Amino acid sequence: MQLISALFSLLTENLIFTKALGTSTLTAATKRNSNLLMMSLIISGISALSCMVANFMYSQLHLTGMLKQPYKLGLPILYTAIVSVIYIIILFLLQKICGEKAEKYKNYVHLSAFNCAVMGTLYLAFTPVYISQDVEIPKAFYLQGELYSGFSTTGAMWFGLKNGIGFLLASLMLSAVRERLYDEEVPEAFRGFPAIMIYTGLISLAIYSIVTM
Amino acid sequence: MQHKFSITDGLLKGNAVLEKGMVIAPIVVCCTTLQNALLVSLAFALITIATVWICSFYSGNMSYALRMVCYAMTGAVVSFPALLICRIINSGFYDSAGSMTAIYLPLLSVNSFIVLYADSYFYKLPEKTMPIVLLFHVLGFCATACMVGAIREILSMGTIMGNAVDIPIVMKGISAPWGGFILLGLLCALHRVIFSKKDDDSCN
Repeated sequence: MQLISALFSLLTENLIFTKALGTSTLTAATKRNSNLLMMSLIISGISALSCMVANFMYSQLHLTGMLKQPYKLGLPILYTAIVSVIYIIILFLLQKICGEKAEKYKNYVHLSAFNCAVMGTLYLAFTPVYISQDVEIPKAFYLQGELYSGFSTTGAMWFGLKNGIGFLLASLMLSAVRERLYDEEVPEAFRGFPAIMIYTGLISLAIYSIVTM
Repeated sequence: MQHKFSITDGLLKGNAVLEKGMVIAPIVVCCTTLQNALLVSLAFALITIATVWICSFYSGNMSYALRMVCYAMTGAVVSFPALLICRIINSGFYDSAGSMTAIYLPLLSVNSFIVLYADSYFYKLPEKTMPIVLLFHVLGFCATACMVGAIREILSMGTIMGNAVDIPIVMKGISAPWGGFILLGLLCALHRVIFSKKDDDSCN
């Protein structure tokens, strides 16, 4: 039952179908005929690590003040710095472990690091509170009351992974029909990108109707 | 036939959203009304123009990874005053706009123009042409955002900038992300039809 509920939440809270986060990355990867599975795995990894590091900074370094107005305007700096460090470390490790083969995977890391799917996960995980409220740690954390209470490394990692897996699910759904959307039978005006948008919109509509039922 | 380069391409023919599929998320989720679209356009213009211009001074000798980090960090730093300006201009609306100002506007600091297109396109242009080409690309994004925002506001609420418009039926669901995806897909197809016809005419 828990597995079904987890799968259901992957669809109903899917980054692409419900929030459009990472759509540009997904369509760009589809155009380039990139390995969507590889990219989704890297996005999942970077999202999970970023959430864990951000969680550490909020809980251990007491940065929760940044979730309050007007300091939350500085959140892009904090999150970009976190993703930058992880990005550099991954590239370094890739070079060390894979050697010459690293070049093949580097493009996926470049495309996966600074995009809406990864950065959006961070913004979703730690919801800024309203200006009138004092920042209380449990209230600032998105997962509170859902899976874990307050800040938790496991909770943050799971949240990042969940969004990455959601991206993977959307990638699989798109790669299943990718060839058809670029097929010559599709009218020229709709071939490729417009067809991807309409296809994504139809799946999004199906999820929307399930959620609002 | 090869299309002749024009500095105004980014506005219509080479529109970043309709032609290249860039910066989709804010348009699909945030541009549900014309007012939202104007705020997104302002934030996008301020962040993108300033960041791409500042980053053009960075050395081209840096490794690709380091350049990406510098571009993203510059975007993040620039987004602070840019979003502050947006908030000052319309503080009541900005604070009540929910996820749009909490998630989607800050995300503009790492939009495709900054982290992908700047390096692969803008910085390869001649120094004097680049700012104008960038400006037209930004205007192209703003025009698309406003068009999507206006159409969705009319269809979902029967208003435009809050003023009632006489239409026989309203479809509230079109303001949901699915409405944005489908409308964007239809606009892309329309854009292709218009510009492929124009190309054919110019060939003839």
